[in-house]
Amino acid sequence: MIKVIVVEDHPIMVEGLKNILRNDDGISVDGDFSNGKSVLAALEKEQPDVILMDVNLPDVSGINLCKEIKKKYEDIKIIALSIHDEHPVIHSMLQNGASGYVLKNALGTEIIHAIYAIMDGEQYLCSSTKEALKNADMEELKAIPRITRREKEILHLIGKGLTTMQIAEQLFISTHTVESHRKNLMEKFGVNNTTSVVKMATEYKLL
Amino acid sequence: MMPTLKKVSKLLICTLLVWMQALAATPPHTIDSLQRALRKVNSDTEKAELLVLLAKMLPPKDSLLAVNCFHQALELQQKLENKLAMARTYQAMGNWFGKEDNLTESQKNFLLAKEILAKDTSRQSRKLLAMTKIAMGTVLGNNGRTEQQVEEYLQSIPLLEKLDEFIILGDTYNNLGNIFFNKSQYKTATTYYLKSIETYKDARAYSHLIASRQMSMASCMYYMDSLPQMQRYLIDAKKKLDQTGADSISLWANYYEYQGQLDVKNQLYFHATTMFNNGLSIARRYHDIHATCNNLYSLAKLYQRLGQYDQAMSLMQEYATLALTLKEYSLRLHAWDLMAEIAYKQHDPEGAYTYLRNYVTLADSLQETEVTQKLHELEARYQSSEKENRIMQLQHENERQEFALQKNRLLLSLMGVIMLSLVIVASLSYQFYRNGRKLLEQQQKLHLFEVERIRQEHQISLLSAMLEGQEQERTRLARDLHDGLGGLLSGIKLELSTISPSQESSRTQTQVENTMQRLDEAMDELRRIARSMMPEILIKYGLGEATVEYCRGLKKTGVKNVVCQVFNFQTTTMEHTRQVVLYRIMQELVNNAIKHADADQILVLLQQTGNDIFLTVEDDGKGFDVTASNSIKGAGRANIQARVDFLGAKMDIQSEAGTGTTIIIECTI
Repeated sequence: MIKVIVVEDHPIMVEGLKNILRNDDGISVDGDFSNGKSVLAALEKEQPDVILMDVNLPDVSGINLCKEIKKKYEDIKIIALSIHDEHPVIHSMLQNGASGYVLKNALGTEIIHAIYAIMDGEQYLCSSTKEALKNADMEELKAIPRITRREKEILHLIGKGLTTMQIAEQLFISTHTVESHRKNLMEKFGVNNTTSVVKMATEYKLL
Repeated sequence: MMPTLKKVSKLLICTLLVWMQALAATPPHTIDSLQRALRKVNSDTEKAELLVLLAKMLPPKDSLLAVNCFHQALELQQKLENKLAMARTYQAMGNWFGKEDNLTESQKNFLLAKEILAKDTSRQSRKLLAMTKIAMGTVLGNNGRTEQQVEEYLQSIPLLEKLDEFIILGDTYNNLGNIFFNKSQYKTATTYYLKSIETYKDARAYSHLIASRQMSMASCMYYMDSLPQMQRYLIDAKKKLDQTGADSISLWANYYEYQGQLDVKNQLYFHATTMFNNGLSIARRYHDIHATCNNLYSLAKLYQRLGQYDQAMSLMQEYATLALTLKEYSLRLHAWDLMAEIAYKQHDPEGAYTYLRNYVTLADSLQETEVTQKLHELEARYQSSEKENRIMQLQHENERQEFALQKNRLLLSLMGVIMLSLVIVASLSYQFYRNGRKLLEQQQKLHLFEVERIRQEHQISLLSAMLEGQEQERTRLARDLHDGLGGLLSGIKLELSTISPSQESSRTQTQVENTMQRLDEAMDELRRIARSMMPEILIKYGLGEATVEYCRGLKKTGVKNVVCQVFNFQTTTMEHTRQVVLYRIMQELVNNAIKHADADQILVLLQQTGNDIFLTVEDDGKGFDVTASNSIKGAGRANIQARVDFLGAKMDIQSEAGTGTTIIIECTI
């Protein structure tokens, strides 16, 4: 029997989860808690195999709670239940030790699958979560710094060897603005001189 | 009526005329030779000199010719611009006219000479000036203007002293002495004689001159009854005379006369007679008429005293004859006077009467001339005083006018000063007023500015309060939606999903699934609403993640062309409220781009450099005219502007039709 506890502050949600889990013979629901404090207190007496944890709790953030539990009780596996499909949330939950991430609008079956999967040592992500992460990864991959038109103009003029003053005159902007753009460009490309910026921009075919 | 008879029995004549009019009577052949020389000479200078010489030498009948010569000489000298020569000619003319008894012309010429000479300081001209003064004095003296004569002489003395012309100086002193002697002012006369003697410094060459002065002194002593002194002067004179040669022999005549006079006083009548006779014989031999007369008179007087009337008479007759040739009328008077007395003593009443009558007639006529002269003098004096009065009056008038003028000028300048100061004060006060007004305006401006600033601050604080309230409300709502409604919907979906497919018919199964589908949609909608209200991620992960997530979310709603990049944004450094406000700006800008730009690409860049945050939203859409202010007006623009103001940020909008729009928000953390 897999011992599961539910940490969820919404009663209907708790009832729904309990119903689904009770229908499965391999899973026993050993308790439900509506906040982080009570669950931490309960864990001191008895530890379950799996915790179904809402990311949004009234007293603590699920992200932090997850981290704390995993630190104390390494063996407990945590499945994050969340209404959020944003990449940073998913990412930080997984980083803090969650073995699964299931969106709340997932089907009951998906939650059961998740419990079994993580008990087998796998990481379980529901389909919507997978979709969200896929989009984010694609963006990460093509994360070549983008530059604005004004930055492009300035880079072009820097490439021609013009000084800040000359650039300001040519573009009818203040030298201060030119300087800001220069700094931004260096920051953006992670280098500390404009020559490197020009070089990199050329490599990325931005110019 | 008896004329005021001078005690003097004789006159001392001014000696200067001797050397100045040396050539009084020039023989005709000299004149001829001069005229010949005149024809030969070419140089104008010499010609002028010759002309002057000729004029001086011409006999009195040729006076017209003489004047003509002078004028020719002047013309030549004028042409040569030889001022000194001109002065000399004028002086010569003065002398010439003096000789002609033409006082007016003489004086005029002397004055002309003086005028020329006054400006010249050369030795030559100084000497000439002194000589001119002396000559003028002499002429004046000859015309009875004794006072003016003395004046001229005295004026010449300092000049002569400076020039060291002691011969002329000695002569001038002597002449002055003579003048005072003739006026019976013996004491004064003696001082001048002594001065004259002094000038010769006891030089042997001038013994005759010294002797002559000493004899004059003796004469003075005679009239002052200082007989021992007289004796002494006569002894001194005799010593000097002994040293002289034949040329001054005529002086002996005077000496014997004085000695005789002294003897008479000492009642040495016989010796006196011898002395007078000695003098008389010398005087006669040298044709010295004055000395002859003097000796004759003194001898006649002596004979009269001794009662030898016939001898006295015969001497007096000779005297009278000689006196008639002389100008000095006093001599004649003396003659008539003494002769009348002698005739009376000779018991010759007829003769006495005749002499007396002659005497009276002459005396009367002399008196008359004197009176006339005095009258003239008086008149002249009156006129001059009148003139002086007039001059004084004029001067007074002038002074008064000058004073009035000065007063006017003073008044004018005072008025000018007052006007000027008024103008200055006016301009200063105007300046002051203007400055004050400017200051006031500036203060007003400053005040307005301050008021505006306060108003803006107030507005911003109002805005921030409003914004904060809004955001809080949104946060609460979003949370309620999420936790309340979201949880409820999730629960319902879970419940539904627990319904076993085997328990019901497939129709029911389809209905359940459809319902679950609707529930999913409802939840998505709820999430979308909640997120747009207040994204959880903005609160938990900050602006950077929220911006990225917002753009990703847009892709899900079908907007595929949004690229978002965040560089170096540090959530912890920026105040949360400000992050939220900047997020709202980003939302609005991106929405505008999507809605209005019709762009292929939308680029959202969030970058932090140091303490500066740059948010750039760029599209390659149709763009708009930045200068046309109503381009992005409306609620969206107003919202953005309010938030930009709240952040104290700079918004830079670059837009070009065809190129697209770039909006950069720059603010501090």
